[in-house]
Amino acid sequence: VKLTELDVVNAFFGFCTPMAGTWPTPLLSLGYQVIGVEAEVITVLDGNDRRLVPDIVCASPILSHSLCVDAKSATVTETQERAYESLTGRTLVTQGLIPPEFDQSSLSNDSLLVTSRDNEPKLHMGLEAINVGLPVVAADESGFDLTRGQLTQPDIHRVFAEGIRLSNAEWPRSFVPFNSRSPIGDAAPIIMRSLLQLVLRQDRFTVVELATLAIRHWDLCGPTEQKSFRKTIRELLWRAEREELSNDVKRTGKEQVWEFVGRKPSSVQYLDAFQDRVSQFVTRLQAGLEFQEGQPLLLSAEVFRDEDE
Amino acid sequence: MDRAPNRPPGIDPRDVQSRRDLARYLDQSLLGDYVMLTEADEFTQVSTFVKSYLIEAHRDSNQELARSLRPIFPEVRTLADPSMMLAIDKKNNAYFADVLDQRFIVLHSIANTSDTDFTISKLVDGSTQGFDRAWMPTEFLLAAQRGQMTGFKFGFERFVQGLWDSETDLLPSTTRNDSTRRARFRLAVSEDVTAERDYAEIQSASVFSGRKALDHIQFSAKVNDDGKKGYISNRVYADGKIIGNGTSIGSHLITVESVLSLYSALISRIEEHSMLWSKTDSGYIHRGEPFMIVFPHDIAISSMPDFVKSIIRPTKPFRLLGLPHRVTDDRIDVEVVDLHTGDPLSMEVTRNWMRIYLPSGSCGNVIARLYSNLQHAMHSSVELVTGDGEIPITRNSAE
Repeated sequence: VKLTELDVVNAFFGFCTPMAGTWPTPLLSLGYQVIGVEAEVITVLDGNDRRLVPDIVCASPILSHSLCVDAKSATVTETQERAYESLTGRTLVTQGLIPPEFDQSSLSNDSLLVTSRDNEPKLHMGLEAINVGLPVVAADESGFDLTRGQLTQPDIHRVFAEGIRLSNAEWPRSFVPFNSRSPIGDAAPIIMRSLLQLVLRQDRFTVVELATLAIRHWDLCGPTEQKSFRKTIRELLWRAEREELSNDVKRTGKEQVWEFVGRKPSSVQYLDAFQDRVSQFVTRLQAGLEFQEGQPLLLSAEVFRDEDE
Repeated sequence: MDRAPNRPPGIDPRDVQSRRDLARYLDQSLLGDYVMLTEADEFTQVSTFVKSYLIEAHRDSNQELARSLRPIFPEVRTLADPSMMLAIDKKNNAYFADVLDQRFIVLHSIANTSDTDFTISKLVDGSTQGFDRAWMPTEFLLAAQRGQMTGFKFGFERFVQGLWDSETDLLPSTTRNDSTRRARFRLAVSEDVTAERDYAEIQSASVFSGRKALDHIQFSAKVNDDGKKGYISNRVYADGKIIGNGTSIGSHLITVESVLSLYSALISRIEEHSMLWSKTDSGYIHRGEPFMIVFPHDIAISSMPDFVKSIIRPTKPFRLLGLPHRVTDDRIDVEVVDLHTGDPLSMEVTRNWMRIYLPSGSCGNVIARLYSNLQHAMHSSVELVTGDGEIPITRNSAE
């Protein structure tokens, strides 16, 4: 199973968060906290500014150290990897990514590439070819292991050098359930859950209102990321309007403003039925099925039961 | 000011303007000085219990609260004491709302319990968003005890589905989606001397396994009132109702205040663990951790979809909307909306536990509601812990 960027992001979130024994937390005990998800940072490479968007940034005030993690496929992009190699703690501090409770004057940084274990040999070769010494962690459902290079901070180096085992661990997915590059089926449950929130509150809504409800780290996203999210949400709403929710949501004359049709938020029957239509829409998108009029119900439980049988 | 038609001579609820008046008004019912109209149109002197309901009521102002109460209470008026309101229900029963707390209100009444239960259930049924009961898990009820335990009641009804346990073979109807044939279990003890010992012995015994969730706990205390010996007995229910009986209304009101403080602190503790991006002068820090509800070993989830579907329901008691999505055969994640407030939360449900992510700003009462109802509908030994192992109900370490 290939790991996605989100798998890596959620794994590192879990490493830094108390998880009651359901997920290893080796970074928590070293004081690491998550301080950024897809936050943009500019670094200088060969005299030119380069924009980087690490998937997740963790930092420890105890160790005065930050860790910029980027999930990688097997592909190497020379300028990007060299830019990560040049990224320093001072660069993060000057661009306002490091909270004041950290000792900003002494902050050191490591950039870390994380890849699926079966991609690791190819990534390794690619980095060798461009002569970049970034450390690489290979990951799969059994664990996370440092397979190349070393981290400058000795305690965090030891964690990955010894490896993080995942036996009896359940991968967290809810810290960051989707990003702007996720397939629409992965984004649908959260965005449409936010639509359920809105139907309880108001007759009309904007794409940005929906985005701020659906994406907890909306304020942390750079403008490029926010633009991509808005695009995903618009696409989802357009499909919903044409498909299962054709009698429930529609665009108004104003760009970006949508409205509910026949909204009855105090009626349990209405809410139950609306939830079923939304669930049908989400389940179908996740299954990659096209919409058909009069399609049999694909409500999640029934789908699961068929699979079980 | 008109008197309520079914109000006999005595303290009229509309004459109550202060907490002192309220204490006198409630006291007459405890002491048997309360006179009510019988069906034969005759006045009779009776003693009634005082009912106090803890209600979570999100509001920005008391004016907004009054507006929200009016669909259920056609008459709502403020009193000279601005931290109190009088509300009259559709059957002309009087309720006094103590609105001193910013988040929770207490509704006191001396009307018949059947009437007050009905009115309160209408208030919290979701037709007006923002009202919810206080959901008191078993450990909470035990911690709320003041004085000597004089009674208790276990209540269990297996309306969570998709389960298998050793009892299922004995009670095959428990797996059916048929509310009229669900297994129900009630066991009540009301015995001044032995209740505490009975409770301890039943809790430690193997009988009634998984069905020992408290519906209510009753306790009493002696009160020395200017040399006169009195007593107060309070019964605290898992759904936030407190019934007082005895000779000291002051002791009842203190018990109500004590339970309210404990519950308010519990919900605050829960919300301390919610997830947020904390903004600093430069940058952000992610804080918070998920909650875990851990299922006991002597129960198994035989059907994950049925289990999840029976919890994610817009109807009472769970009152949740949600979009479940299958991760594996042994795991379903659910994006949930709490109908009490419209707030979001996420669940990762496995066969052994559920991990719950409560975003900052979402009302923590949903955790208490979910947990308390799972005690009463799944297994009384489910456990709630935070990510770092704290048991938020009693704030003890899980270790």
